[in-house]
Amino acid sequence: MTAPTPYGIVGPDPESLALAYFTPLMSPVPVTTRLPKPAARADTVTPWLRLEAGGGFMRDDEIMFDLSLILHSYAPQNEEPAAAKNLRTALGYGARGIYTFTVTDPDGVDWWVAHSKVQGNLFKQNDPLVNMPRYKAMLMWRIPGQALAVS
Amino acid sequence: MTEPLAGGGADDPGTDTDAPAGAHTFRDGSEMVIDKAAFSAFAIQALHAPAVIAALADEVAQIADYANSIAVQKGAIYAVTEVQSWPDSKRARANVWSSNFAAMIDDAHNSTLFKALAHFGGTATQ
Repeated sequence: MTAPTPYGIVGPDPESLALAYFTPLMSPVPVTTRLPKPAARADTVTPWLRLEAGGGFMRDDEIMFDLSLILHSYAPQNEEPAAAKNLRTALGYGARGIYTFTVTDPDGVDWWVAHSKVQGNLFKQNDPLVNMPRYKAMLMWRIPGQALAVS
Repeated sequence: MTEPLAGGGADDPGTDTDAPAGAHTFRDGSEMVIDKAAFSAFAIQALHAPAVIAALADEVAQIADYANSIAVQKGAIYAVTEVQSWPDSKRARANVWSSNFAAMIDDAHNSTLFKALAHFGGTATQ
């Protein structure tokens, strides 16, 4: 009898996973993980959605991760309702309760979202770095980790 | 409001021909009636118990400590409110909040309160 191979459990990168999930669903709204830097001569800025890893933890079963994702929705002053609408739409796509779904990350690895919910509903809080209205909210995705071989 | 949480009342008798009002019928035909008012009174009593209030105070203190530990803005202070245990409220409540201007700026920049909430697995307003 050989000794079992030691391994660790690794969770997904929440930002790249969420980027892969939300980008096609929210199209044509741009989805980013950082603040865009429009050209100095740009005279229009469109609404967009920014994703940020909010943290989370490995659950006591030592398999599932509860990963939190903060969504920031921006829009120009004259399109403020679009910021709220985009965020509500994203929350609808991202918080599906017991309806599970699978997201493929940029490395081609499938991650199964076993449970998802709105952890903090949208509220308006201007971003000191951006002169546009911002709404933000937080989602939680419960995802089983995957075995990582240890040599 | 004298009886804010005294149960949901009986079901419409017109929708249920055999079972008593408010009864749940199981697959084997047996029935169970929950005294919602009594259950609510028990729950309210439990959620205002001194041990629960102490645990709640400890939990919000931990969340505030964590928020202060990850705050980036110099001088930011996240604090807790006193536990509010009003008898006409369903449960005792407490809040973690950005208690000074630096904390407000910090939270607007870094979503510190959301991250503190995520760290403990909570849901906003719980």
